[in-house]
Amino acid sequence: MGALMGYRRPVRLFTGVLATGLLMGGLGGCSGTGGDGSAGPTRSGPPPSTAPTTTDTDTGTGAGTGTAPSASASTLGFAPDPGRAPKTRAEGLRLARTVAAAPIDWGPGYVRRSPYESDPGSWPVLDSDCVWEREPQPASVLASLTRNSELPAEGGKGPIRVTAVVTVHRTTDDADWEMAGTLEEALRCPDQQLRQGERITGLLSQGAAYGLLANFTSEDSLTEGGKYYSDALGGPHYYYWVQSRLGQVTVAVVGRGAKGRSSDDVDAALRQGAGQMLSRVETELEAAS
Amino acid sequence: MSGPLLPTDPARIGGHRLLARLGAGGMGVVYLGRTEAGALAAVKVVRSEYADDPDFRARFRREVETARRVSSPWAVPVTGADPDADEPWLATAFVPGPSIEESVVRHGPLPARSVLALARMLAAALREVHAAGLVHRDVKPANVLLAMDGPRLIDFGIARATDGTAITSTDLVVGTPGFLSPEQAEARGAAVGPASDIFSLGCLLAYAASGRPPFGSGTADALLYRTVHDEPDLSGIPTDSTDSTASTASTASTESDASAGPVGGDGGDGGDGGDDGDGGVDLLTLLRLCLAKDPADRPTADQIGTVLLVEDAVPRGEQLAWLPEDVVRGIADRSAEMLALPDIEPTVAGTQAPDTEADTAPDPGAGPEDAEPASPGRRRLLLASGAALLMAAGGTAAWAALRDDNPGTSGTRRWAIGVQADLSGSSRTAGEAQVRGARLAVEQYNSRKNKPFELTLKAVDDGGSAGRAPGAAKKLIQDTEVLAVLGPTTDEAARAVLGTYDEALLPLLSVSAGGLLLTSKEYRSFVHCRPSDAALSLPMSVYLMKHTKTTERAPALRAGLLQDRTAQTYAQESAGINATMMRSLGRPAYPRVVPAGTRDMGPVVTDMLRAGIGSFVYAGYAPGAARVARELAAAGFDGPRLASQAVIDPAFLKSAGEAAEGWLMTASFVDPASVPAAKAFTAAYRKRYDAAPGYYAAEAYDTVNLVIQELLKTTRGTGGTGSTASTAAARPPTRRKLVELLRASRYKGITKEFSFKPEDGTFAGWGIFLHQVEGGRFRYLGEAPSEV
Repeated sequence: MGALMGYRRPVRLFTGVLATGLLMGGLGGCSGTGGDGSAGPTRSGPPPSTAPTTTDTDTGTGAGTGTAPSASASTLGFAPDPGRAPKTRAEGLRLARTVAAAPIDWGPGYVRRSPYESDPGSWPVLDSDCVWEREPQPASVLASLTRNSELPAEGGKGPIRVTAVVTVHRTTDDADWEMAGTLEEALRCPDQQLRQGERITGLLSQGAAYGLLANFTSEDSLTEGGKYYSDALGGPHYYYWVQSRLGQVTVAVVGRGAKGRSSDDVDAALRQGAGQMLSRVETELEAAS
Repeated sequence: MSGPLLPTDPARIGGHRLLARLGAGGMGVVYLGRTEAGALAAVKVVRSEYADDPDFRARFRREVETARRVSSPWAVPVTGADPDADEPWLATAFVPGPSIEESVVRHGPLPARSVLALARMLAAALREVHAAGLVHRDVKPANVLLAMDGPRLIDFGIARATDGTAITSTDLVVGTPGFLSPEQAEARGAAVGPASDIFSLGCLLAYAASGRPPFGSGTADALLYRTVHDEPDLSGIPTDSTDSTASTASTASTESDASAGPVGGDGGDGGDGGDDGDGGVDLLTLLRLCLAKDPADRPTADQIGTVLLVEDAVPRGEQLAWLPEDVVRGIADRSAEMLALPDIEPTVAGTQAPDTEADTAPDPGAGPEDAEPASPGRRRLLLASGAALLMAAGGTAAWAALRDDNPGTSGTRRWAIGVQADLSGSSRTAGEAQVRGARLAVEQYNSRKNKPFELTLKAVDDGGSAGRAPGAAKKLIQDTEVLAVLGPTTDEAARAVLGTYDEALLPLLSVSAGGLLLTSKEYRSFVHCRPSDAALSLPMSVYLMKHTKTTERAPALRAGLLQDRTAQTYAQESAGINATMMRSLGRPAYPRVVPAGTRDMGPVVTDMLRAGIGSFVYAGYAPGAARVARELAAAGFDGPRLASQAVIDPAFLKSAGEAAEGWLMTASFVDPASVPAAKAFTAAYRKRYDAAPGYYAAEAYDTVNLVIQELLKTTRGTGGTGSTASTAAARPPTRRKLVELLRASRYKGITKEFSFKPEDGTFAGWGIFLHQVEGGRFRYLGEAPSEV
């Protein structure tokens, strides 16, 4: 599988639905394959026509209520090789560097944006005032790497700014808690300050295990959508975050729109970037074949 | 079917000289024997290995007692038995004829006239069985032998007294798959009563008439499954009460009395029943009644004989004509085969007559070779009052109407409401309640006078799963009589079929599925008869604002909000809206989210308590709620604890125990037993089902009544306004038109007021209720608060 250079993991950015009939439309779950059309062979294949039967006994029986749990089971087919799992910070960082999307991964015309890479010894934390800060990584994190790219402003159109975040945890369980924590952040802080002069508001999030809400590419996934404001670029602009987990690794992509850029333009880049990152995680962690 | 004795076989048993083997089964051998007086007998002998088993011996003894208690010309009499012998045995009169199974294999299906006669006689036999307080439990073609004068029901091997002294355990399926009732197939123990035999009789008759078992063939599991969930295959069974060849509608009395040579050419007349305008209950109707899934919908054996199939006085000699000639020949051949057995002296033929005469009074004593075509029989299977209705409508609703002695009305086309429900999956309690509530509404409607149409209910099981839902939907969609469908029960099933119903533009009214995804795509035919899962969270924050007030001394404590991802989108919707609401009310929650499958809730609960929460909202299912409840109780937390309806589950009470006390749940359903407006419904439901209505029964009842309200609107102005409705057959609206009507409708039900957004069919009312755990039970508190 590693030899398939053209391989792209298709990513569906599923539709988030939340609250009082509000539909967080965002990226429709109807984008077929990876935006470049070179879907290539995928292990996960097409969405199953029937939902997998749940084998989790820890779900409500729904007796008397009719709200039986939705079926969800990991039939993704992701089978990491324990021998290839990163165990040290160095191994974690090597993996993060391999996986994190570079400009070319987002589409034609994307370039590095400064600062291109974060300090790999730190990771972003949302403080009690809903402001993002960088703090030293906790012990459960082997490495966390952030890379910034953009499609530069051109012909009256503003830049599309995208960011890739790869976090390598010691265990899958730790990665699971990171996913839960991200959902928690949106509940706690629907308005967040990203950095000086940049903020997002009205954030709504939606998680989906494999098989739910058109998530057929990762073991777990979540999206967050909201409005983006910047001192430099104005606003409100489109803002979308997609975070997925494969084993002990989470990969996130985030895109911000600008004047003259449609949400579809941003979505296309996010799809491509996320697809690249997920297939690299798979390539790096699965048994060589 | 029979064979010579084996060297290991005994020569004599209980005074019978054994002549041949009639058959051998797992538990014993049946021999043909002759008594010292010369009579032939079928002697069943239990294998010694079973005879050593006290349980088995007890069971055998019961069989003997059972068989002895039944006295009917159509049941084989016991001539001798010794259940306490070293090798226990039971002797019955020997009937040389073939079983129905053998006859059908050899000669093909029986004509409808013969099947109806068979029905009447077997019903008479079952009447005696049931009157003796027994259930046969294995009525099938192989257990009914054909004789010249009528059938013989045999083999009481697994019969059981209805008084409940069961020999077999309740969870064991006993009998023969393909001919078992749904209650037997589901091993519902005590629910297997006389009505079970009637269902089996229906299967047997369908087999006799069509040559195929009504639930097909295949593995036992498949047969049992289809018996419970599928409609019987009754294709090819004539709707006319006469022979299929005399296909003129029986109500058209233009057909003369002329013997129109029915199939088999026995010269029996068509008995068209039209000569005096009575019409006749047709076989198809009889089968539908017998094969009703709900035992309560089936006629009793007595009713079959006294109401459905009434025989006028027929000269005894002419009763021979009940079977077609080739079958009669088959009986003769079979008898001859028996007689040709090497060990049977020809003289036994002579001994047979007194033997059969003893148990069958009408036996003419005619030998097989005498079975010439008899003179045209005058037998008619008459209809009792109300039969015209049965002809027109059929089905269980019609039977219910007949029992109520209500003539009802007829139309050229039946109007039906479908129910797609989980009747076998994890939400089957909710699914069954919905079917029952819906059926009650339909039956009550059908009992009205001057109604413009008769209504039928058609229930299909989807197991609550995405895999089976499309098949169930297809079945209802393809049935052109179905005008609207109640269901599905679960979100998973609903998501799988909303598009299908949308394409068919068949109104789909759900009272239990509730996720936002159901309405996010604006399906054209969906009518959501409940507030969404997300909406259930609205009153939580309202409640908390009311019950945790700011005082002069201290600000109100914020609520802890826990989203358990085990419950995926259900938890997400609940947590999301709670967080938003509490923030907008000026008191943001302290939110936490735990990964799916989290079992140890200790750390997260501890963290939340440490954050100083004053109340707790859990977003998830019952098992997680129970874990949280135990942690909170252990920590001595006694502030308000809230969740939504998935937690209204016996599993929560069981698993949380004392810690469940005081938990408050919002729900889209009421407890009808506690709602004054539902008093009449609850009483009718108890009367009809002998049980209290479960959650969703009343909502389903309301929903069906809503559909009926709109259907009735369409008939106004087209026919007489009520008084003369019985003559003008109203035409049903198109499905598309009905969607329109339903979405624009308003209806005040016993549970809540129904109204919808016309553009997308989402629920526009409030319809949110509170339930609270009190004394180990869920207690209904009434409507949830909607304003702070």
